[in-house]
Amino acid sequence: MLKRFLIYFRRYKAQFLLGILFLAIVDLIDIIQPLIIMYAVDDLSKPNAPSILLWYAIIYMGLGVLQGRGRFWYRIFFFGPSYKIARDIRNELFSHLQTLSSNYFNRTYTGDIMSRATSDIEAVRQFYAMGMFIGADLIVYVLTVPVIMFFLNVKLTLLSLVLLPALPFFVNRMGNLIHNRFKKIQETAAEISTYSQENFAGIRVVKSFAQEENQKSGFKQINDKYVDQNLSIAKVESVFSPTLQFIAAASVLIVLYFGGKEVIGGTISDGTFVAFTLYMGRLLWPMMALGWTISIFQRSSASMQRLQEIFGAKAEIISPPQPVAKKLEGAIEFKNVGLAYQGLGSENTQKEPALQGVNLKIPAGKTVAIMGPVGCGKTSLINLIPRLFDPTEGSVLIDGVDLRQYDLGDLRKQIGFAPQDVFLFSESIKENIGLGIQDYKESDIQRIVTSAKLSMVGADIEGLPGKYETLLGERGVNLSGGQKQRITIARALAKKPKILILDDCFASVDVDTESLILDEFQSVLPDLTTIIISHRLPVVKVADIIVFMEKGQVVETGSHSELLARKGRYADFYRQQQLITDLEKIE
Amino acid sequence: MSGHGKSYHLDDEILGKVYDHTLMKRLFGYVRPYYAVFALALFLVLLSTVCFLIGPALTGSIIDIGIKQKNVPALYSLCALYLSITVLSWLISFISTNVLAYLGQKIMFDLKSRLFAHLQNMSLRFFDKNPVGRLVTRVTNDIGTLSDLFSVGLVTVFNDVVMVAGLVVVMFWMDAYLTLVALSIALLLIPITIFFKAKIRNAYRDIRLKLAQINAYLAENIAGIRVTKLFNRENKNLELFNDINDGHFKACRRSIIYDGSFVSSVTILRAVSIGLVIYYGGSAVSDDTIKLGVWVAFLTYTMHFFNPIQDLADKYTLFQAAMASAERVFKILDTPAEIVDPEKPVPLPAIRGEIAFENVWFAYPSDSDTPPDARLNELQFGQVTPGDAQEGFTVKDKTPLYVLKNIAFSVKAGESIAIVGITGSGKSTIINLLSRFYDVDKGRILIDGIDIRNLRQSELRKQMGIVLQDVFIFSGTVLDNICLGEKTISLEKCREIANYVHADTFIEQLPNQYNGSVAERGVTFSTGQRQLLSFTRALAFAPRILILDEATSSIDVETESYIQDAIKKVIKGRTSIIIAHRLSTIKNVDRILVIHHGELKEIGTHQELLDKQGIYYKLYKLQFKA
Repeated sequence: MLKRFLIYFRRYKAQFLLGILFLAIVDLIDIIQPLIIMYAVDDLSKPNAPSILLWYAIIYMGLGVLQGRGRFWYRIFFFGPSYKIARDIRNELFSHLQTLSSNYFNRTYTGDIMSRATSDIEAVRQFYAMGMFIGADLIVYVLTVPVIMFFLNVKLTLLSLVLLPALPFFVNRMGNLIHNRFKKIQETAAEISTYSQENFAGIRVVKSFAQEENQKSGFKQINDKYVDQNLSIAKVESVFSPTLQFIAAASVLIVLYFGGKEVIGGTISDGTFVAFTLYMGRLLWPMMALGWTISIFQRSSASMQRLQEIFGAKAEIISPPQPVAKKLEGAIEFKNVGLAYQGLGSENTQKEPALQGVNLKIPAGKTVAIMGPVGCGKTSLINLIPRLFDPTEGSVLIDGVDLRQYDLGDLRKQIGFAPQDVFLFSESIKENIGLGIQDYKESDIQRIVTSAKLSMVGADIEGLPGKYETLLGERGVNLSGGQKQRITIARALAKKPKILILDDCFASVDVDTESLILDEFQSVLPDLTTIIISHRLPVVKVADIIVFMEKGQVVETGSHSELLARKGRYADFYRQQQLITDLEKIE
Repeated sequence: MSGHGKSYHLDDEILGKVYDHTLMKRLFGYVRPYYAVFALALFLVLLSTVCFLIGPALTGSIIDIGIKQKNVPALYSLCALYLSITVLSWLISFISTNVLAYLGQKIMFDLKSRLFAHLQNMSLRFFDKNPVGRLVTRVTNDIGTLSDLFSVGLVTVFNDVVMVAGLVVVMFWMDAYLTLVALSIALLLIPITIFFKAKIRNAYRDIRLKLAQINAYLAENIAGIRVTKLFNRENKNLELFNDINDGHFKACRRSIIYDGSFVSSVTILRAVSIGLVIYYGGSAVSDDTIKLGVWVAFLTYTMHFFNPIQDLADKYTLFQAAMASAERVFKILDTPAEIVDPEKPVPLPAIRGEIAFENVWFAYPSDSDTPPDARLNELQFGQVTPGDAQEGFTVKDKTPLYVLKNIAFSVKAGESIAIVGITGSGKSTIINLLSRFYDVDKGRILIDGIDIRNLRQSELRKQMGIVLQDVFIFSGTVLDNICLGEKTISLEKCREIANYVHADTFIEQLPNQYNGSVAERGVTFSTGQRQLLSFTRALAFAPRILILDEATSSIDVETESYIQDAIKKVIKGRTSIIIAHRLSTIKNVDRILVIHHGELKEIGTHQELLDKQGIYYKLYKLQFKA
């Protein structure tokens, strides 16, 4: 972890070093100031005291101006890079998150990621800003003040610093306590944000079941825990800082008593005595600062650890080092494919794998309908094609090459996928359909419009005030569920894919429209390999091959008529559907 | 920032004054339960200020009385006094740190619970308008900022003000002339503060705005990560994110420059003040007009004088942020729940389950006007996309767009009816109104002859089991998802019901079965499994009225036949309203209502309606023409 802190430090080393330089200048001036006062006190009895004092005053002011400028610059050089580091970490985190596979997001709560990306990064930034700055400050004072004091009077210095060796032990112990408690606090904070996020997203269910009171008390419980944890950290801090201050004040007292006696005895001058009290005051700050630095460091290292957990998550699905470059034909083959999902948190795998021993060949250019009862693995199967998941057993091949040998980006570029869950970005319709296009050329626009028309959403879009430039989301317009689904279909088409996958994405589209869209696809895109999951009848009509699945396995494959003739599970399934229809008719 | 970023502007545009009297007054309302604690905290602060101020004066006395007069016993006793004050300071710090933490945490707890509770009472219309991410930010970040205000801010400010006042008093008491010399320069602080105030305020406002954009963008992207991958959008997303992130950084950098300039000015002023005291004070000492100890103490006080002022300036941004947060939090607390329980709710004992709609008219509010089915779809996966909550095309003309027009029908206790109609006809709205997620515009809805607006919402809803088309799965265990925290429902009961609706098969395949945890929003479950779970959930509450909202629309034929089987058992002796596109559901019900463009067009049994050869007949044909 320290390594990670160092990496970012090195990146802005020059600036940090400049910052330290300016800080050292400012601190040295601060350390010289008591000396000026010392000389002023000692020169009071001289006959030309006022004119000497005037010079001391001018020197003091001049140094003050320098110090003021220095304070400006060390802020720039310390805080500036700290914000740069926060920016960098956030960018890196974001970019890393994008490489992680679906499994990771199934396991991890969104609210948790959010809180790491904001409050934990801020805590880490504090290390570079306040932590390092105070730390450097501390070092300068600790290295210089005692030296000057030694020069002034060895005996008094030794006496006044007698309490200091107790510090490291005390600070270390307190630091550990704070670290552990702070980590717990951060965890609870994430829990609060997750709990409320879920509650708000599921408010309809909460209300439907009149669960408001239960939710409130559940929230109170976490909130209570949060308060307790915060109070427990306050308890540590309430002993910590005051005790450091106490040690410092006690040291001042030693100076006052022993130093006072020395002055009375004539061994040291008034000025030296005054300078000593001022120096003790200046040691008070680093002692307090020591506490702060430790607590800042503890907090930020706890946060860094939490960030590290994300950075440590390996992208499970990545491109091979030497990918096969090839334009896809679109023939897909599943060879003995098995898939088991990882559960949330500690729980590992489901007892029953989602897919088991799937063998399936889909020739290029064919339309395939995958059917089967709930949870039989239809979505799991098609998720393997764009490598949203990798099979845990066996392999998936396109054009005879294992998917894992293609470049991930290349592969996905050639697959159009309309998932079950509609997701649109808060951007324009154009950008949502042309997702992934960097600069829009005329041909891209054309393709977007054509795809929208093919997906029967073109007219809807033309009817909007901003047409394709209409913004979606909060600041823009929102569409109906059916329109959204059709936009996701258009989006899949706009890629000019070799393989098109439609995962049950007609749920909010009426049967007629579904039928029309499918017919259109067939006539316009004859050599497109199309895989459709749907329970509805139009699919049967357009499919060359029907794949019937049950319990994660492919049970039957063939054309509609073949399968009917086989009188197997599909025939049962279909007959059942017809039976219901007949029953309806009879009644 | 590129043009894309524009869509991530959020609500957080409240600027925040540093001090707002009305807001402060309200915030203090939350201190009221802890007045005694608060008073104690202030007292402790006052005490510690006094202790602090005694320090330099005591040092001065040690010089003047002990050292200059070579009085060792006096030196001894003054040092003893110093020691006792040091011990006292330790004690005060110890107590006040705990007291302040307690105060801040308690107030935060109250505010947070209050806000959360208030949100629980808000109607769906509110949630339609406010994205989840925004509300979470209110509950976490904004409350956190306010907690800082109470635990650190207020007391520090009090401390600083007391300190400055105390210093001025002590200094004047020691030497008025020298005080005027030293502090004349301090007056320059006023124009300097005014100059930097505006700039710093703007910079900080910018920082907060940019941070809100970062959060919004992040939330949206995590929700849409799969789509991003499928469409190779990673680079473009990263570019957009970098832009926003860089904007945030630049705003931060501006704040450092202004902050630094301010600090730099204060440092210079302080040095000038001290220089003046060195010259004028020193001259006075050498003239014997003042004593050495007094001068030394005076120097120390002058050095300290600028600290609280610097500190106050540091707290400036805290106050600004807190005021902005307070404004946002209060804005939510001030938004009245549109649907409230009546003052004297009619008690609702075990109901018979009669439902009557009397000439009901309803329009969705124009600012979130949307077809009801779209609205339902919106909630389907409970995504956190910040953009997804506010809906609908903006309606240009002001005439309300009635989704339901003059709907009148009644359902007898124990009777089951089905509502059919094409997408957007208003079917789902009927259910939204019956469960009082929205209130009718005209007409009324009665249950057992009682207007539902006269009932307590929770009592009303407890009588109903609702299976939504969109299934929301909470994190937690399967059991949690069935019982939703209702402890009266036993595991046995859950098993029984799950068995009833054939949800047991997949639940029992999970590693820990009913105690197995489900991933966020049930992503590892298929749609059908989620619906079966939701079905179990509805039945677990043993409702008198059962509502199924298109619950069967994406379940395959085989599972549906399971559910049909369950429905048959479940609706027996229970008032049921079912919305389904599938005619297989309809065969189990007593009567069918056909809704078309918000109007009730046909009522009757399946056969009657078929014979009529009207809309129902066409719907029937449409569904089965393939």
